[in-house]
Amino acid sequence: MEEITKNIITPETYLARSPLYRVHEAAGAHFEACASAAQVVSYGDQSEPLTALIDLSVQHRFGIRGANAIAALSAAGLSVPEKPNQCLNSANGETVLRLGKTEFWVLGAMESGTCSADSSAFADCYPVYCQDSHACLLLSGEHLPDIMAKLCGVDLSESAFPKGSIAQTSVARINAIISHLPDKEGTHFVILCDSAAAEYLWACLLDAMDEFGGKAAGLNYLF
Amino acid sequence: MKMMNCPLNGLRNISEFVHGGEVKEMPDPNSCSDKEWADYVFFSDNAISVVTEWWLHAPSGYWFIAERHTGSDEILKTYDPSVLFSERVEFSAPATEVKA
Repeated sequence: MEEITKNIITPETYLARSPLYRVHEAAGAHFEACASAAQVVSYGDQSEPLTALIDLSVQHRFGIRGANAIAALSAAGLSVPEKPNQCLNSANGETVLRLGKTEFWVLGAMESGTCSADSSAFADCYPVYCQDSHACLLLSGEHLPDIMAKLCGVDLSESAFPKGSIAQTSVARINAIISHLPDKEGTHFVILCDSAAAEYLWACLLDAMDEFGGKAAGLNYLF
Repeated sequence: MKMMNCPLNGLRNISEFVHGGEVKEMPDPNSCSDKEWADYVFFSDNAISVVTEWWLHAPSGYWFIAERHTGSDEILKTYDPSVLFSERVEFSAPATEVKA
């Protein structure tokens, strides 16, 4: 009995938690260890929804900014998107978001949830903290532009917002960064919002997805 | 809804922007009078004319400069602050004597 209890992973097992962990627990989510935290891998009743909303908040991310940021990222073997508001995948699975002329955020590889470095490794750049300050949600599947059109004024259709684009805008009246992930089969939008507003945006997105057959899901939906 | 062209993000709803006040030349804080400093910090011209103002695109935290007519509220031009500010402003406090 004790053995079984030890093997059950809950968000409370770790100090690092998603701002949405209570929502997931109440909804009967299953967790697995990922990036020194509990990542939702599935929900009890999760089948294969047409569109899935996945909480990736516990996965690692960091930001840097400054005049040396481009050179430092290249030296660390990370891809550098050519223009602001673009994102690129790096060889080791990380996604680099270019949010300004000299500001970059790096999202950890989705399978492991970790980054190969953090902002402290870039001594000649200013660190930009975005781990616990932001929630990271992944919207994945079909009808994503239609779902987002209910919440956001910017045109996110494939022609106006192709893979590799970023829109920093207002979603359901809160500030968010929407990235259309490059080099992936299917459509995937990563949405970064203030962690204090995560529960609100989670509910807004689920409500908007409902008519398109969208449901909350875990990381197993992707792999 | 009114729209504004953000130099970084493109055309967006005006509700995404925050007004940051007029662009004014800062007097040297170490040599100007209190009156000049108070004028710089607290007062604005509030004229009916084309004014140059700071604006913030809140979702991206990006500050830029807009030229706006205060009568018609028409936004004539928006551009990156590097057009007007090419150097970092350093603040150095005057040396003060430390009493033993």
